[in-house]
Amino acid sequence: MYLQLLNISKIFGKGEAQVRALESVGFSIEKGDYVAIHGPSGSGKSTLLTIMAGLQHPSSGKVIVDEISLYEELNNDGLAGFRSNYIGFVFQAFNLLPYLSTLENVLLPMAPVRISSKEKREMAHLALSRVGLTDRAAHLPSQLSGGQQQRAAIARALVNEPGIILADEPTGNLDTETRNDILSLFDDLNKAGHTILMVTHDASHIKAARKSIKITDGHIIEKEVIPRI
Amino acid sequence: MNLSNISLKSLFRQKGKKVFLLIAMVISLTTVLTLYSYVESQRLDIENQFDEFGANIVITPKSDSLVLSYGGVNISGIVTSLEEIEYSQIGKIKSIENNENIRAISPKLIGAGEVSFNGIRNTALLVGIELEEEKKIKSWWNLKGTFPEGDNEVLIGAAAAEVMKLSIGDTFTIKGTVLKVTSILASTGSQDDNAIMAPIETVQTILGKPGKISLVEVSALCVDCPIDDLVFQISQVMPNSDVKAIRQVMEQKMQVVDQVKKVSITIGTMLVILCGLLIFSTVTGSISDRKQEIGIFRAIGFTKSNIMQIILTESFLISLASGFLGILCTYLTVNLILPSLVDLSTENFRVNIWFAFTGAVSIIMLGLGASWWPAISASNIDPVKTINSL
Ligand SMILES: Nc1ncnc2c1ncn2[C@@H]1O[C@H](COP(=O)(O)OP(=O)(O)OP(=O)(O)O)[C@@H](O)[C@H]1O
Ligand SMILES: [Mg+2]
Repeated sequence: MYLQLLNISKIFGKGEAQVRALESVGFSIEKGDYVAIHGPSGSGKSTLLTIMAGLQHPSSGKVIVDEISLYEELNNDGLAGFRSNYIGFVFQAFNLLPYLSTLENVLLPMAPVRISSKEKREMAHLALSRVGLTDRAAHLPSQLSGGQQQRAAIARALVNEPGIILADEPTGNLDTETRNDILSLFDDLNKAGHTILMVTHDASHIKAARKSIKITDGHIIEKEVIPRI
Repeated sequence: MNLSNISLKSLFRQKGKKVFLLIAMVISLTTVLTLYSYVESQRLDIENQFDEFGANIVITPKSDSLVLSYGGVNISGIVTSLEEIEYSQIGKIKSIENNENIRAISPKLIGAGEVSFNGIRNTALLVGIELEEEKKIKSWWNLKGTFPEGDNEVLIGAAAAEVMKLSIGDTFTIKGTVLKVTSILASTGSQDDNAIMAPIETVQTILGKPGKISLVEVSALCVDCPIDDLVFQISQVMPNSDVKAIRQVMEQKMQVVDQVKKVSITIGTMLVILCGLLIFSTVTGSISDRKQEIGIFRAIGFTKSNIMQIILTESFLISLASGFLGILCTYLTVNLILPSLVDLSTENFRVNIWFAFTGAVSIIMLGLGASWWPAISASNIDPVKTINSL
């Protein structure tokens, strides 16, 4: 068992304005898994992802990764270290820094890491080659297409060799063709051994997903293991 | 890529705001350094002039009939003195508590004598001096010939030399003693011009007053030394003498400098505050523009201190640049721009390298200090909020 969520609840606000974003959510992910989380808008998918990523405390429940209970055992810096070492985050809006080249954007997660810049560059180039962007290393994000920008963002998520890639609607901002492109990139990455958890509106998009989890109103209403064909 | 690279990259964004901040910091530093250099030059000028005032304490015998007449500062006005001080008394001056502030103690015996030279007779002012001490006090003296060394060698003032038609190498007699002119003092505008100055023992013999002196001129070392204390301490050890400080002119000049200094400090303080506010608001503004970026940094694993380091490094770089440029501009202002614009009539207007260095270090501290709080608030940006707002 690699990542485990136990009884996670998340409540925002107080009194009248209280929102129960997640209620008693629990599941686990094995190394090499490919999980799709889907459900209607506002059902708590992003909230779940940020809790798994060590970005915000659940109201109750535990997140256990590599036998460490994140929010019980790690302080703020510890959580940052966890994100740096275990998590590769892919956002819907790419979130590349516009003033950095593709290569520099990919190098970014390694900025606080104390390894030689030569080593960093090698790792960044490797990540870029995995997403097929080697020839765009020197370009600024504004000079890339949407699909290429998301590829760069995926390379940035890969570069630290994270244990798990969390992607929050990574294809939400892309047209159908590019979407399939990015999805098959995720498929390839999973086949290459990466653990992936992806939020999407429609799980059927993910052909290669091994597990699918449906959330509505903060509850898991369906867990499905899709047999690999 | 490391954290400093990120600071450097972001330094060159929003160039307008940063150049504006840089200019403000450079102007502030230049102004403070230039004002300081000016005040310092005024102080040095006065301190140098102070040397030319010679004595700043005069000791005379206690006597109601004695009148000190000095126009301005020169104290050579005692022509006749009814009473004298014992020469042996002056050793006591060295025993006072603040004796390290005393630069020279120059006793004098003053009298008149008839000089005969080439058959011409003149009554002249005869001043007995302690050669080495007098040299220290009258450092501005412009002499021709060589300073007297032997017992019968004398130094004469320009006016006396002219009236008596004496030149270097001439010998003359005064009350039967033969004296030789070794040196002529260029006109000083003081009563030294009229005097014949000979070693004090010689004059004591000529005037028949062995072991006596008419007055003692004391020169204290610095401008700020405790003159009142010195006067008090000397009058304690020499109870039968009048001890007076000559300092009005100096004090007035120093007061003016003190005023300028206070104004400068006020302007400097206001500039520092202004600069601090400007740094603060620029950094705060830049952080609120970069909220999303900082959220991403945090989301991909940067710690709070990583964020602070990025922000503070950028402030440090701007402050460092303004420190360098500020020193450069100060040099230009002090050495080229100001002298060509106004006649400052000051001799010591130059940049003190240590103060310039201190100024540069201070502006770096200011830059870091004023960025500290914005940096902390940047490190507290919640990544979830910025990510969700996308
Ligand atoms: N910081 C917050 N304060 C208050 N309510 C919040 C906050 N963040 C999320 N919520 C609420 O929690 C619920 C779940 O939000 P979440 O963003 O996780 O949904 P989602 O499934 O990702 O939706 P979408 O598919 O539209 O991205 C929503 O009702 C949302 O309004
Ligand atoms: Mg969402």
